[in-house]
Amino acid sequence: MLLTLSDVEVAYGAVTALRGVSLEIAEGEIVTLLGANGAGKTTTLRTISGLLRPRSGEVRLDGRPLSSIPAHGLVGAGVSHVPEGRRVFPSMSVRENLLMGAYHDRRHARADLERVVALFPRLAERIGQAGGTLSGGEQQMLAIGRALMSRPRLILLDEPSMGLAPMVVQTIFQVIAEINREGVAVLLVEQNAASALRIAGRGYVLETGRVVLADTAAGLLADDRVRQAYLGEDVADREDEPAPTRGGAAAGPAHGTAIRADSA
Amino acid sequence: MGFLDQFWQLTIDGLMVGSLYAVIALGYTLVYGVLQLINFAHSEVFMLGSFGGLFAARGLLPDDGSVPGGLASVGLVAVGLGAGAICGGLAAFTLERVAYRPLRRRSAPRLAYLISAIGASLFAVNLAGKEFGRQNVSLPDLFHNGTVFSFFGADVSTQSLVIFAVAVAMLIGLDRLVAGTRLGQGIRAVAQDADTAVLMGVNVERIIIVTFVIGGLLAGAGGFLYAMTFNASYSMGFVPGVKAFTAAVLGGIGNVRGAMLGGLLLGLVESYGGYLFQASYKDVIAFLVLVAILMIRPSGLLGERLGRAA
Amino acid sequence: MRRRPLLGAIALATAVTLTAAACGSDSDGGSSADGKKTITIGFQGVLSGDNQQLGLNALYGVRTAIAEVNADTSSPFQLKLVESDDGGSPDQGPTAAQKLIDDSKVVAVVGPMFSGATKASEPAYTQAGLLSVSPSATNPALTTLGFKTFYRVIAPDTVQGKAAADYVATVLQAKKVYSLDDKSEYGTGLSGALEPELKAKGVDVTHDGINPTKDYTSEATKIIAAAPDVLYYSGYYAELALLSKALKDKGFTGKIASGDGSLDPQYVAQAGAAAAEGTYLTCPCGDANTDPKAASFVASFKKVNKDAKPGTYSGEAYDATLALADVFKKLGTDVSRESVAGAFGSVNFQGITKTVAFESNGEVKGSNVFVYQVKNGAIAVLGNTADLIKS
Ligand SMILES: Nc1ncnc2c1ncn2[C@@H]1O[C@H](COP(=O)(O)OP(=O)(O)OP(=O)(O)O)[C@@H](O)[C@H]1O
Ligand SMILES: [Mg+2]
Repeated sequence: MLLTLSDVEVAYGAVTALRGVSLEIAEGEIVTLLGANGAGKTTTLRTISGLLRPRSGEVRLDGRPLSSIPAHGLVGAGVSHVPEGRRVFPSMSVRENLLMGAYHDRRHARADLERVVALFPRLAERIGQAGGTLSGGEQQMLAIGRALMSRPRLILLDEPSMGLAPMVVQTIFQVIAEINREGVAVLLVEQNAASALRIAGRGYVLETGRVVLADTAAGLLADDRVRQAYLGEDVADREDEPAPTRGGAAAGPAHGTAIRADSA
Repeated sequence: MGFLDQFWQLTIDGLMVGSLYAVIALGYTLVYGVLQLINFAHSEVFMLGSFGGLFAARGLLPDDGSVPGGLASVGLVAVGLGAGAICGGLAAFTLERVAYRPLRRRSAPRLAYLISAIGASLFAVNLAGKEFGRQNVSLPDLFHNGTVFSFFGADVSTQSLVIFAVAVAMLIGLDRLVAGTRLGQGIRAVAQDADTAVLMGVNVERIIIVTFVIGGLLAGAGGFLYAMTFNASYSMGFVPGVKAFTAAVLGGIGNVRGAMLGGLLLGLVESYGGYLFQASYKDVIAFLVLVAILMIRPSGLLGERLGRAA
Repeated sequence: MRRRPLLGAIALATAVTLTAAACGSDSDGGSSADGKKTITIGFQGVLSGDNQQLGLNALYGVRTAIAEVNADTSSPFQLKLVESDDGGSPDQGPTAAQKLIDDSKVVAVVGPMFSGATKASEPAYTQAGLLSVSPSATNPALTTLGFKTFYRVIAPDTVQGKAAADYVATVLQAKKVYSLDDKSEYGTGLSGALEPELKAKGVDVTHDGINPTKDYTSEATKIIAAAPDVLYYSGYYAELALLSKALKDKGFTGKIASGDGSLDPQYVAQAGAAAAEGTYLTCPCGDANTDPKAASFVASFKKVNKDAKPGTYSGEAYDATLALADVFKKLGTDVSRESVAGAFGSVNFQGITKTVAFESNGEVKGSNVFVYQVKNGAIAVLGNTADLIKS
């Protein structure tokens, strides 16, 4: 397993945010983490990237306990985190922001810069502009591009579609799928459950700090609770609708096989 | 003796002092940038650096009170700068370790840092008073040849020229460091968003300590330059410290180029003001400027961003 | 406004610093063991801050006198000293005075030293009926303010200012003088005595004042622009040192002169020999170190004070202390604040600086003003102004 969380509890002072979360991610798969506001999704990601330390339980990366790695060492171990709200460095140019992604290891910075810019042509046009002056969509591209600069094996994405226009959301999800095709594992936190489940192989549902559901994407799409709470559907309508074909086409065969490979 | 006749002289004097304010102001601004903390004990780092530099240079002077002059004097300045920088750097390092780090570990409230800074300040002042005496300590004028050139009727002495040149070199060096090196990248990243900097692999603790030390090196070297002209004493830190702080706020605290601009501007305003009104008002002018910025443009001339340096 | 707390912080830091600075040092004079009566006297002076050396000069003079009295087997009493530091500042003067007043054993005080601190302290001494003999406060007005228990063993600045003006006009032949004072009680008193006499001699005088600071660059520019033959600074050595440095740096070609407040080797040390060279210093005080009559004083001073040499005001403080001892001796068993204050006005004691005897207003009778000059990095006496002007 690339990453495993076993029975992780995390607290902010007296407030317990995670109450025994267990999940795992294998090399090369897309896993989505769903949950209402305040469920603990961001907390989970921050714990994985070492910004928060569990009160109990354990996070392991390649079987190695994460507690042995300082937070700033994680990017070197292959984990890249695109934080909630993008958090681009506002006064650095697009170029400098991207180069920050290669801060821990600058050997491939130049080649990677070209690669990332090719992935997001919009960034090429704005290469000298300050990060803080970009539009929300551009900032999200920049934040993802910055994460790619570190050549991650696992990328953590915290609500990449938040506040973006549907067109942009589509681009972002396409890029996520493309990154994944290159072999990068993705842990995707999303409010936009429909889109997330479309590209993900598996998913977890968090509620008040606990994993309440864990299944393949198809399984979750078929689940009443998920449909009602996260897809905004009226469960009574379910019989009228044909099976969950909506997601199938967009997800593409690659993910279908990934799921099967995984669950096998 | 009108103001205009003396304009260039006052400008040169103002730039000389202002460049020193700028060098000290960088320490405030860098630390504020990475920690959002006003390091009020920075003025004592400056004071300790002055003594270090002064004692080192005096130690190398011949006993008969004569001054070597020429290249040997340039060497003395280099030794003083080096010793001042080392003492300042050490003082800043110790300060961070003793006065601030334990508080950071405990996530102490803002006020605790302030109290800790005041305590460290008083300790340093009184320690210096005890160890180095309460008299002013001076370094003789290291250069004999007096005025080296005239500029629109303004006379520039070798010593002022050396001070200004070194200060400007330090400013440029720091600017390059922050804008163009990996360390500078790290400093700016921590200043703009410390959590995200960690995600990029930046070791924030290390950046914090390095930032303190850089501020200390500059303040110590600047302290030596200051003491060459204005002598050193255990109580010397407060006034230039407040002025440098004013310069940092004037330029936009947290903003490296702002601090430089603020220092030079404050030096000029003081120099002109000291001539136009009364020299006694020089120190008052700095405070008036501080109050005025806080009222009119609280984020300073260039705004509060360390990243703007790039 | 997010940054308001910073201003508060600065204010707080200032307050704390000042409070800390205000805390003076105590020292115990020790007590006598051999059954002799112990008489306690106080010392108030500048024992901290930029001009501390002047305070130490006087304090060491007092200690020398006390050591001599205590070593004298024929002396019917032992003297004990209580020190009180006023930092030379008017703000701290009353507190420093009160400390001595509150100590009921103290029957007389040597001090205060600086004119401003003296002016601020004397009302308290007068009210307490405690005698104070200043070795160094030279502001002319001090003897006109109704202070009943105030005496000084040094001539006021009217005497010094007039003599200095005569010297500058006659011997230095200045046509144009820039008179700069430090706006202190002492500085304005001295410049106020200097300037009318200069004008009376037909000298063109520019008056200016500057509070003590570190940065004299624009002041130096101003002075050089005025192109005086002589700059006379009425203030203390720490500031004159910085001013001299700034003037030297800018190539000032006139002469620099100053008064007793600057007459200390620290002036040369802090200005640097090159910047201080040639500076004239006037003082209503002789130089014990070169005066043959004071040789035994110098020897005993060095013995008591770890080889330190007497400095400005050392001799005056020594004389003031011995004059007090003389009065104590005459009073016999009845030594109290009241008796001492009553008897001191009629003292007639041959000191090393002068004969200590007073006019009815507390002003010392008859005094000489000497001129000194920095030569080869050391302060050397040129002589008595009266003699120098005649020759
Ligand atoms: N710094 C903090 N201090 C105290 N409590 C916190 C802190 N950060 C988060 N919490 C609490 O922890 C719980 C989980 O928060 P978290 O940010 O992980 O939720 P989330 O699932 O990411 O929500 P959202 O969808 O709104 O981003 C919430 O109840 C939140 O109030
Ligand atoms: Mg969240």
